[in-house]
Amino acid sequence: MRPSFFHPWLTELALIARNSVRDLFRHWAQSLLHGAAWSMLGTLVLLGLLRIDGDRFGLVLRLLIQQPTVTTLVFAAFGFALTRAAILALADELREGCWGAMPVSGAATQRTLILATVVFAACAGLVVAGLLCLVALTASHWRDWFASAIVIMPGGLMLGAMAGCFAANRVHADRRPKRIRVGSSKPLVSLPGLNHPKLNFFAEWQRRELLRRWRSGGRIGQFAFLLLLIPANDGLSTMLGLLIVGLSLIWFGLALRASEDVIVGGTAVFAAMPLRFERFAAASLRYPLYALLGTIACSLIGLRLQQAPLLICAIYAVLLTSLAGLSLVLCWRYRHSAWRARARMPAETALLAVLFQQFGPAALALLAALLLRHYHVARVTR
Amino acid sequence: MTALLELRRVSHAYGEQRVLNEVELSIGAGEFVALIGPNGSGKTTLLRCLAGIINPQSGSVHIDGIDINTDPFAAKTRLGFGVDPTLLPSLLSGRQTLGMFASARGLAAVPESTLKLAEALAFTPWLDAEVRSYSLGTRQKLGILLGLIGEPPLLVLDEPLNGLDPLSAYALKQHLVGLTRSQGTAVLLATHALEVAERFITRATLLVEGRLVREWNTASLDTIRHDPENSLEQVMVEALAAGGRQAQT
Repeated sequence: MRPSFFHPWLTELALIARNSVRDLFRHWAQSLLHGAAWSMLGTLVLLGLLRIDGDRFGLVLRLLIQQPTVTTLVFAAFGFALTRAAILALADELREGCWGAMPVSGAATQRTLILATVVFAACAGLVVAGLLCLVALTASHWRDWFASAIVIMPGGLMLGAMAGCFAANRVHADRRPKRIRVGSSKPLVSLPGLNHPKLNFFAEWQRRELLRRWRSGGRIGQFAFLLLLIPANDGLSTMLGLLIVGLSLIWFGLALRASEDVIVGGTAVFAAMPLRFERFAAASLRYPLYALLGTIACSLIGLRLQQAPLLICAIYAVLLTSLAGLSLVLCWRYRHSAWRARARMPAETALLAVLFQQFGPAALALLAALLLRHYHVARVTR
Repeated sequence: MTALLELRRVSHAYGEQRVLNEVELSIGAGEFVALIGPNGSGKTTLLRCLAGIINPQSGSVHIDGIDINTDPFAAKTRLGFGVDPTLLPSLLSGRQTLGMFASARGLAAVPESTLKLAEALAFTPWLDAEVRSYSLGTRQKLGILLGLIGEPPLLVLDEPLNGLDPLSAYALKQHLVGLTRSQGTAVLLATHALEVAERFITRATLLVEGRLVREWNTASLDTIRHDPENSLEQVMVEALAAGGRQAQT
């Protein structure tokens, strides 16, 4: 048998694409309707984007290209992280998935991974270039930044993507079995009071999920970005304050995401159990609430170190609590289909921002009503 | 006497694919029923419907006389459902997971009977290890223990013998038979392992293309068991072939 040049996974992709096209023609009326709807939506989005003052974005882009090394590095890091994760996932799928036991040469797999990287990097570069062109279309002073930005940003991204592919290939080539580090998610300090007596260890599950993600380098990209934001010429207390606020926010983001993922996992595990939603909600609220209080306390220290007035501190705490509350109730409401919560969160945040702009603190009442509404729907959802 | 499980004309479809077609089934106290059927016949969907994990599109499920759609909490207090090994919380230990499920059932601690079963299944050494270090069989054991915690009157297990070593499989079957005899627990077991279920079941029912096409009661099972020329496996293969033909016509 002659070994194939590429991995047969590409044939699988081609067959899937062919089936999808066939389905489009088979359900032609539905396809036509979807096509029309997407075209209308795309036109609306494009019209909306064209009304944006591109020179505001242009100003930011101009500032970025004035520091070409840092900007290239940031985009390269982004491309590296994205590509490494995607190529590693694909490599794992090829090794351990349905193709795992098939006679496919290592060289064919390697070539396929490189091809996937080239396509992935080219797509990512095209998306960035497309966004830059869109901003240039809506800006009058686009000549000031466009030529440099179109080289630096997609270029940095693609460089990072190539490095990411190289790093992923090295990891993939290491065929030693993965070691499971048992106990790597074990908390250093036990918090026995954290667990809800009527759903013991649920908070522990959330906490361990956070610890596993944090210790395996979750959100390290955000941390690197935070370090880039710290001004070098400010006082020590200001720098320290910014670091505390940023770090606690990054940690809380991860804690909230881990807690929510455990809520979704717990929903599936307890599906056949006689567990009332109220009790489940009370138990699953404990850890995120503890994380929120810890984050607010740390952030307030950080803000005070930056000489922020008390009013700003209070607004910060209210905003953080509101956003965390909204994220959590959306997660409860859509605990059977988490992507809905993820999709609604930015939309409802934007809505709340508009409400706060229009009504000021009175919008808090509307927020409370929204939270209650989501909680009520979550309670009656089975 | 109220049946512990009663399915009335349960139908369900995924999109245009009809998976369950007006299924009717009743299980009384102390019965040990095997639900058999080829792959894709709808066994898992049926079990998920009766556990209230998915709502059937039509028909009703009653557990101990309680409609699971009307009062899911009360119905589920009477139901024990084996947990899918892929859904287990990988970062918790077996003991913590058991503790979590015990408290969800309103129990102060993991019951002694569960710990005894864990011992019989040779699971005790794994109790304090994280779930992610478990093999498939060990995960399966934990899923079974979670389903049986608190020993509710109706137990529903989906392929519980998959991945279990012969000793553990035997211990589990003995335990289930013990529950049916001593406490009148009703057990519904979806399985392909006919040869291992044969000696323990009191009734078997065959699901083909979403319909219960044939049933064997205790008397007919005994007749098959005592016929040296015959076996439950052989009879069921013949019934499967006939059921398939019937479903096609």
